[in-house]
Amino acid sequence: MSKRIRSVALLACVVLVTAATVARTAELQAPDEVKNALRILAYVQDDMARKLPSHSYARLPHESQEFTEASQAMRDAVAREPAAFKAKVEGALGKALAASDTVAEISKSNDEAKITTAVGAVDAALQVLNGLFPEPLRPVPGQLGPGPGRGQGPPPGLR
Amino acid sequence: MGAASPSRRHCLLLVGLAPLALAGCGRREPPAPVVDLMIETNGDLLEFKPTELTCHAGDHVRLTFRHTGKYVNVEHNWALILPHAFDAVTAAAVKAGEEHGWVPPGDPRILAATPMCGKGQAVMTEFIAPAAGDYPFICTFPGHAQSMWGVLHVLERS
Repeated sequence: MSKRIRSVALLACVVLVTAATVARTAELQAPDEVKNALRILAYVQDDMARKLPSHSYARLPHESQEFTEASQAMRDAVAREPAAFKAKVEGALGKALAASDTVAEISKSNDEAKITTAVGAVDAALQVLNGLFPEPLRPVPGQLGPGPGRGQGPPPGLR
Repeated sequence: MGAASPSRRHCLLLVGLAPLALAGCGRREPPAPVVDLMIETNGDLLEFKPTELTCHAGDHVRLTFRHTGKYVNVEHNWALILPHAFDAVTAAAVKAGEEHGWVPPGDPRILAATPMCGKGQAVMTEFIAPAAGDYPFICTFPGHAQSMWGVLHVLERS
């Protein structure tokens, strides 16, 4: 009997969380724009991280600049949201931008460990930003790009 | 100045028909059909849209690539490459550098490529479609090809 109650309670929780997520998504004025902006930022961060294995540190200031440009997509996406929510987004975005600026600065040192940490900080700041939005709008880590490889280039048969 | 004699008339006829006869002997293939393909970036995302294109072997392809980005100032291009050359071409593109538009000059593994273009711009390339098969296309800007790729399906000409 208690098992049955637990199952019903669990199901109710799942339904409530799903309903809350759907409601939150519906509440946003421009959910598609938000989803797009989060993906643009994720792509730039991903591209930043790709420079690490090849030690292409000289490109990182460009990536940081692109991150700054991409941040405008987020500002535009939440432009019609209530001021309190916009302030939350701006706060999280500001921290991500500061982390990205640090990457540009640290990249000049050519210190692999420091640069890796700095790029990781951008990712962490982006996760905080993503967390402000419903899950269906958030980019899935490692799932950017087309095809079965999702960000790994063409499949082995073509690659 | 009278009418031409029968033998002279015969000669004139032969001279007049010669170009037609020569043209017939040339066995020229009909000109390759011109096919216009359009592709663009998926806005500011590092993705092509669409990710699949189709043409027939031997088609004269005119491909237009449009950069529809709005926010990020980054350049992209469209390059058709041989199958199984992805890693070699992307490495060669990095070596080619910005001065060559991130496209290694004269690389036989690259079948066609547009120049790089910035947001809001469009560029074009023309090529004769290769033999039937699936060919990857990519953006050769360093790091982009991991997600900016697609497939050109070249079909047999019926």
